[in-house]
Amino acid sequence: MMKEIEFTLNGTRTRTETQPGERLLDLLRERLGLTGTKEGCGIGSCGACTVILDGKAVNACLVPAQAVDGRELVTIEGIMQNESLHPIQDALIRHHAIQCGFCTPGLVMSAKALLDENPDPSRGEIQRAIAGNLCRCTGYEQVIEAIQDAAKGGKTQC
Amino acid sequence: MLIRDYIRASSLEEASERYAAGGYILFAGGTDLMVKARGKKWYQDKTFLDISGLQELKEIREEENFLCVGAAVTLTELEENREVRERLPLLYEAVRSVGSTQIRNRATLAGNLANACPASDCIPALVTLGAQVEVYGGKGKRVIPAEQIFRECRACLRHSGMHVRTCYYSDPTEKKLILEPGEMICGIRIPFPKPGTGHWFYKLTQNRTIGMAVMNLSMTVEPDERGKARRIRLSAGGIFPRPVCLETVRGKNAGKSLREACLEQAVNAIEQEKDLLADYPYKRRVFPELIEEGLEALLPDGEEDS
Amino acid sequence: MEQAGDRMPDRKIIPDGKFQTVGKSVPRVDAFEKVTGRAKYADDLSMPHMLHAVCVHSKVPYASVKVNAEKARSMPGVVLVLTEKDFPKPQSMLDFWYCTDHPKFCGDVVAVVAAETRTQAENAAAEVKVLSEKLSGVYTVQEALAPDSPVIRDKGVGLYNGMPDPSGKGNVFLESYHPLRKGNVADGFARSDVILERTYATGFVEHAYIEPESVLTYYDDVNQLLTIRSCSQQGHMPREFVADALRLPMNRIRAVQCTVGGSFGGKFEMTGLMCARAALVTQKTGRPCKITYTREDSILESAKRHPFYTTIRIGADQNGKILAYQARQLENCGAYNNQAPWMNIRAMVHSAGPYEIENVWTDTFGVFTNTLSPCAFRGYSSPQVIFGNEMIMDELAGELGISVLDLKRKNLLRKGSRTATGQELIHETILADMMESVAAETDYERKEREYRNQTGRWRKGISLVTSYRGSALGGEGVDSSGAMFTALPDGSFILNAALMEVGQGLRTVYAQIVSEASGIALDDIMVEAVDTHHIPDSGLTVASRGTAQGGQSVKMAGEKMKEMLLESAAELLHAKPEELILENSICCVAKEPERRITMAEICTYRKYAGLPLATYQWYIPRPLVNDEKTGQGEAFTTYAYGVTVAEVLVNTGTGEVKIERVTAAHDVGKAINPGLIKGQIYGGIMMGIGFGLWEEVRVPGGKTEDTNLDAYHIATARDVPDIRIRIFESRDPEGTYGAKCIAEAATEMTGTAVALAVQHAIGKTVRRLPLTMERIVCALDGDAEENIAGGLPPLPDVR
Repeated sequence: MMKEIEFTLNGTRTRTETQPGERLLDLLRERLGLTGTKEGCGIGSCGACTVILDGKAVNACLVPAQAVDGRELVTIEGIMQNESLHPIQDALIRHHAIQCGFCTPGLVMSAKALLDENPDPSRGEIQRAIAGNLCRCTGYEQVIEAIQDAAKGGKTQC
Repeated sequence: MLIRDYIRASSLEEASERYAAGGYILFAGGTDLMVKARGKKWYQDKTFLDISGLQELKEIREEENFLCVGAAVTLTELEENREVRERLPLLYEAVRSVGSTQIRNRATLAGNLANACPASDCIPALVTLGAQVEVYGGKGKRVIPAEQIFRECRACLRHSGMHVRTCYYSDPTEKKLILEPGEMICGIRIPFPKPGTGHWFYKLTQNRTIGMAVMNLSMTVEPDERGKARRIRLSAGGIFPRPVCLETVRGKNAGKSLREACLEQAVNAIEQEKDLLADYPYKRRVFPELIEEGLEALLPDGEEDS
Repeated sequence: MEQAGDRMPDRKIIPDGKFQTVGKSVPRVDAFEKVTGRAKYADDLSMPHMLHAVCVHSKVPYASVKVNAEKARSMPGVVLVLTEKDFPKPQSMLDFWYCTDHPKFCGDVVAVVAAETRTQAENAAAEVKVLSEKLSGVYTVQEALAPDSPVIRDKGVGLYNGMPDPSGKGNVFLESYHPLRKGNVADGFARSDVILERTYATGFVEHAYIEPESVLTYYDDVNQLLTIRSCSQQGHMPREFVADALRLPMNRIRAVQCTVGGSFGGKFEMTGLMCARAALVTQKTGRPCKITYTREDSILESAKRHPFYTTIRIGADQNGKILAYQARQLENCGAYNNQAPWMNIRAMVHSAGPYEIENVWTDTFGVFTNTLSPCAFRGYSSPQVIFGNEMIMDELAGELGISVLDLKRKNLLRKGSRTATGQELIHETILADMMESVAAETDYERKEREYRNQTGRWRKGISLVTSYRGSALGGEGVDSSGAMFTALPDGSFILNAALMEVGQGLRTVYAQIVSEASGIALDDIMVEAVDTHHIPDSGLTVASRGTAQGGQSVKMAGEKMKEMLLESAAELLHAKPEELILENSICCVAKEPERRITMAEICTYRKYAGLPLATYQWYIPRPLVNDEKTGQGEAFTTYAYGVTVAEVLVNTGTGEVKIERVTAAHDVGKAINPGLIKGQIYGGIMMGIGFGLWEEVRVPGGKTEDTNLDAYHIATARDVPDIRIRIFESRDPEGTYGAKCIAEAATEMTGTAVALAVQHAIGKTVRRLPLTMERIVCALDGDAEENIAGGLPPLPDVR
């Protein structure tokens, strides 16, 4: 029982089929080939599938695909402008805040959602904003520093 | 994930009619339902009825001395609301302690209540504040005090960790609330506490996880006219088979101080559940500690008179 | 050296300056793909006509099962269901089973269901009927060692005088037994003024890499090679598993690495088994097949950190000189732990801690149980070993009435010391200096005294842990490696090496090493992913060996390439090779820099002159000699040293722990990329905190419910304390450019440091990890005298 939905995906009106029971995560990865959004737990615990829906970070594993009909979605594939990195991405690289990289897209999306609303967050606010993004490699410290740096204009040389 | 279908409700009336007809599961944020749907086949014959887009359920408004929160209001919307932050700080802290940013961006207060998990962070806060639940059904609207809406659910307390993923209930609204068939929660009314009321919220977790509390405690201390503590209300998550509010009022405690009486009442309440908590000696042991910590914070020294 | 996030300068023993890229925090070579989401992990791949397979795990930990797949086979989209009889060789060369009718733990796979879609495969898997005849199993080491307990493995032996006894039957894993004998412990105890005997325990710990396992197999379009793309942390092992399972020649199977989403030792055997299962589906159907595990599958089947019961008897004179050390390190091996024979070499070598002790007797061995599957996990037993070592040192100091710092000062390994294996430490050994430096910086001694008599709800604690770690594989295994460096006519270069980038930054470090050695600019070097058909096997990506030892052949290849380039440049510039310099891809005559030539000119010349454009180099480390019966000999070429100070706040009402600060000092030899090293240490510390305080997969009766990240908690960003990293460099000739190890050293001390700090705060001894809130409250209530040693055999009589 396929249903058609239409939504804005990374700035482009997108029309696609989906079926009941399909998660937004499945829609992105399997139907649309956007594999930057990852599945780490399937239950909203790890944040590897974080995307931005109507300006808010959400776990794509907990959103039915049909629920995005008519809404605006941004994924990791949609945050570069003209092939240049988003300041958060740039800061993560400079701060060595990436290791295996599996959690990285989700972290980037959580950080972006934070900075879009709060351009000058405290360390504590950053920690809270990314507490739903588990990372086993980095121990978070360099990630937190990178987000702070991105918020301050991304000038720290590391 | 296995569901029969997903549809969006177009009005509260339509939602109610469909819901009454059966075959539907009310869906707002979906942060619990999507987890349950993943691992189990509970919903393969059910349709998720999404009420999150209903404008009439999305309002936060002040009405007399209440803050009225629609059933589609997310926890983030509450967290960002100034009235909540300034005038309902207990609720504000409880809401902020739920899950992660991603979860709070989807989850609703009504959904948290409807899921009726004994380890919920919001339910004890609502019960402590004396919140009321607005229910909509075939016979129109009615209001039920939050403390009275829950059925006792002893099985839940034997459920290690009380994780959503391993929850025993496909439809807690039906099994764990006292609603009539077809009735749905459409809003929650929270009275603003008296000015000067002190509050304490504590979520006890092993690490600073985004997961469920081992236990949590909501407490308010209401002052009398002279600013002296008069009434303590508290409720706790993770330890009782049904949300209860324990209330202690100054001067009605057979010579005991307010602090002593409060603690004694809590210890008695927990002792009544000792069989249920047989596998969790830690919870029984630590519950009074949580209360003491709250009392230390809320009752200044020299308030020990009876 | 750069200073990100630090308030105090890193201390450096030797100044550098002669290096171009080594020692610099260059950004990762794979950062762009990863930060943009373009890096492809195994589950991100898909192919036309690809099948999806799901593994059915045994619901019973120890049983004989009959699988009825009739209904599953008839379900929509199902292509085939495999059970043990379908596998040409159902048991792998590493003891684990690809598929079995005789599961020995809940993670054993009893059937594999392949269907057109993942959902169809999942639905059918749920309909596979598994009829289990339960067998009587053993679910703890105590049960396994009890008289008359069921013997769950044919190869299990018994115990005599607390040591494995090949003549008896039982559940002891004989091949994992490594005795260590040095001096005369009976005499040492006889001369001791104080003797303590204690037992310490740790639990099962999950790797919890964020990427659950995924593998994809297919026939390639040219040679019909059975091709594997997987999350394996071992480049070449998937090929061996598939060759083994399908009885195919290895040259018909090709494994090409994917981006790996973390491994920490855990993406090895089980990933190999998954590759073989998928490969069998591909072989039987001719179609690509993908298996991606859910988190639940992953936690259930994948390897864990193995629980230790360590019983230590320690004797010292009244001045605090340790005179005798006896220990038994008993580990829960699960049903299979094929790595225990090697893991226990490391556990044995380090069993007496970083101390010079004349008389040592330790016995290290595993015991089979029907629990989970313990294998390699970052540290390879060192976090468990350090827990026992350091906890008893603290108790001994208390018993002697001296500070633990003084106790360590009297006993720490120094240059010229002999380790427990009798190895003389001939290289710079800076542990004692590091300890003094960190103790001074953290004001350890004052705080240690001040925190002793606290009252109130929240109490402070501080601890100091010292450790040493054999760098790379050493005597544990083959530490050779190979690398191929290829020049292209346009002056760009490709490096092929056979150890794996799994997130630790190895491709970046190899680019730095080969750049340094060859003079080629970093930007001109591409470090290729591992492909079994492009580069010979160099052994396992384990033991923190990638840089220190794996890098050796990379350096050799760079040096050889430089020689080749200079030889041609000399011809073209009409100079002698020794007159030229080659740096940053520029080659010129040293004294006349305007006489220069580009890499493209040199490489194009070589191409048309018919000269080799590639070099393949193989590194063989110097041999180490070790006596198996006594453990005596040279165990590792060199050792890395570490000191960790943890400062905590403990809520004595609830047992909550807030970690205020962790100061971690590591002797890394030479820091090739300090930014990456800090990343390793930050991550290692957060992982270590979990090991110390809350991470445990509980397995009552062989079953576990802790199968997703809601029940199994790892640290979040909010758990991060103030972390201070001190990188020490020392002169050491053994590793690549003097580098030692860091990946595992980074995590091995933290759990113990945190536990010790809690112990200090509450003034009660603790002897079991993880030190949960519940255990802390029990300790405060005086209930901690739970008999950890109960049910364990007594220590061997050494008189």
